[in-house]
Amino acid sequence: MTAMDTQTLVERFYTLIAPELPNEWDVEEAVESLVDDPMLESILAQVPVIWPVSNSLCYNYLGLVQKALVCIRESDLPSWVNETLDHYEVGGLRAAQQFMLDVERNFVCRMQGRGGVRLAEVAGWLLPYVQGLAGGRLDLAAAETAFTDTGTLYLPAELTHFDREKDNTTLYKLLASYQWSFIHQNTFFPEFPGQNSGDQHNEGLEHFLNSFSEPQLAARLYHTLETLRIGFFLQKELPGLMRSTRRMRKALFPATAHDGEEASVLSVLDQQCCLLETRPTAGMELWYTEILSRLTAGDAGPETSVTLCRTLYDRVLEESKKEYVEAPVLFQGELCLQSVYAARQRQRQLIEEDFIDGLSTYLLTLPEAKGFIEEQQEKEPGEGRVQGIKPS
Amino acid sequence: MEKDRLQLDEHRIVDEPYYLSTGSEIEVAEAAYREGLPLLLKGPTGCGKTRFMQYLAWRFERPLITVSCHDDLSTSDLVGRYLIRAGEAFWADGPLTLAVRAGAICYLDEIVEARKDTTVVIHPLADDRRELPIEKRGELVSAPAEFMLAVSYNPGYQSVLKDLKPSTRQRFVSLSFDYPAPEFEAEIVCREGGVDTELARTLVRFAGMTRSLKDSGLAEGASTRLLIQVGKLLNQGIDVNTACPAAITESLTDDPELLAAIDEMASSLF
Ligand SMILES: Nc1ncnc2c1ncn2[C@@H]1O[C@H](COP(=O)(O)OP(=O)(O)OP(=O)(O)O)[C@@H](O)[C@H]1O
Ligand SMILES: [Mg+2]
Repeated sequence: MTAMDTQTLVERFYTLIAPELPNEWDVEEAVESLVDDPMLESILAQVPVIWPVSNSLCYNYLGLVQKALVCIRESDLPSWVNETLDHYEVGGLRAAQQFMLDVERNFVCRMQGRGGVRLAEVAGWLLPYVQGLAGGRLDLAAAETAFTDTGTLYLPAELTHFDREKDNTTLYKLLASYQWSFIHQNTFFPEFPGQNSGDQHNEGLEHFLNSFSEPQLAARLYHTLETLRIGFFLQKELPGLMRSTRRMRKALFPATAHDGEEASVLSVLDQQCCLLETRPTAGMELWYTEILSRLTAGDAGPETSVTLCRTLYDRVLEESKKEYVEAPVLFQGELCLQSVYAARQRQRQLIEEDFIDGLSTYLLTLPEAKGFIEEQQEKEPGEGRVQGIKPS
Repeated sequence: MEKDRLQLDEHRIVDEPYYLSTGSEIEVAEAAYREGLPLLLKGPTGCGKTRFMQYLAWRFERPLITVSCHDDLSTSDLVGRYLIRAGEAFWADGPLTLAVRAGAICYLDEIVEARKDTTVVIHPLADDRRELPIEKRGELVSAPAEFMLAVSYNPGYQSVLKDLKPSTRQRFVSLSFDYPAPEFEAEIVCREGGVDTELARTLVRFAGMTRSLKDSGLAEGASTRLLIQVGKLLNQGIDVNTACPAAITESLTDDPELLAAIDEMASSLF
């Protein structure tokens, strides 16, 4: 194929999307960098596929495709685009953009069928590992995303983010360690003023989050602040793990499309969740240095994140109106308060049942009870009215 | 007699052994000693039972005669037997008899391992009779006030076959040992293993993690003893990533998955 100049390329583009006639300098900006690309034909071949679905996505595609082609084969481009469109259908423009940005972790491994690690492969040692961390019973199970109900750590059934199997294996360990830390560090049960201290059965966090105009956004903010706090905790508690995952965590920081503009609160927090800089640096925003000192203080707890969440919410809300809220960093996982509360409820029931069992067993040993039971048995043989009370 | 005295001197503990008390065990043992009651020390391996006995022996200024029980250990091994020398039979006291006669402390380590017939001689010694029957000589030795009987046993790997009979257990004042609370254990590891506080704490945390693997099939996690051993390897210049597997991981299990899990714990911590 012959090299084209930008003008020829723009015209080529118009023929591909005819009869539409978008603004010429938008088109020019989008295709400019492709002029000398040896894979130009394959790249352009996808334009008629994407354009009718979303013009913006098509421009995005043109901006990102060269980076993607570093990772994927030219022949895999059509299926990559198809998958991008799947994401568009399900999650809209942002989801599709995110998918394209994450080409390395989302697509490459799967296409090449290497490097991926399944939970089933690591569970043999990961389960004793988390039980060691927890100092007792804690289960593992597969799920879409990482989260915990405090009795079980749910982790993705497969991890393919990195090329190397070793890295994905370590990623499992990192995910599990974060989820355990949320439990250990009381993320789900911050104390609120006026509440009995140490009350593990409160649903205070949910009430707190619901008090904001956008509870989902508040939850995202709170959970990210907690992830940051837990990161600092893990640096002290499991320094080896945090050292060995430094490079990996940097790679997981979601690339953001905007350059130059002032970074949003959430994107700074996300980034710091990965970098975990413990000392203020030159480029650090002033507001963040305050957060840093609060979250790294010796007495930092989930209550610290509650306070910071209150302080930062308005600004985050403001920013969310201008800019799409990205997914949090991978190891943050999801905050599933409903499962946490349900698990607590089940646990409480078990304890109550145990207590009732114990109490009734004790009552039955009392002389009065013996007399009573005998009396009952005489009256109604085989069908004591003291049902549910099991003599031991 | 002279020989016995020399033999006993070997069992005297002159220098105060380092023992960090973690509860009221010293007071209880002291009271039991004054009342002539025997002691039963329960607890996992390497948690300080032997060290405690050494400390008591020093404190009470009595020789400490320790017998490690095993499944071949018979009454004769404890009480004594006739030996033939130069064609003549003569009686040789066993360690228990020696201890009773001398008013020493006799510590039967891992008592459940011994043959069942040994309990026959322990029973009259462990109740208010405080006497040791030596059947073969037709002799009944009364224990002096200074004599103390102590036995240890590890409930961690008790089995139905190898459990103490109630009639045996119920003769003893029982002290339940466990690994000391983290701060205490770190202090012990720091001092005995010669490592700094920070590292001792991490080692204790590591041990704690291995001790919660019962559900995963590890009956006993890393003991205080193992942590001290890591410390000693480190002092010899072995690096932590080599010392931990050698002194801890491999000593705990052969199961590949448990090995992997424990390795991952170590690499997370250090
Ligand atoms: N409370 C303590 N004070 C001082 N040192 C201790 C204490 N507990 C444990 N240690 C240290 O741990 C080591 C192991 O303890 P020890 O030999 O007494 O264990 P044990 O309970 O007798 O084990 P086993 O059942 O395997 O014989 C001791 O040598 C000592 O260094
Ligand atoms: Mg011992």
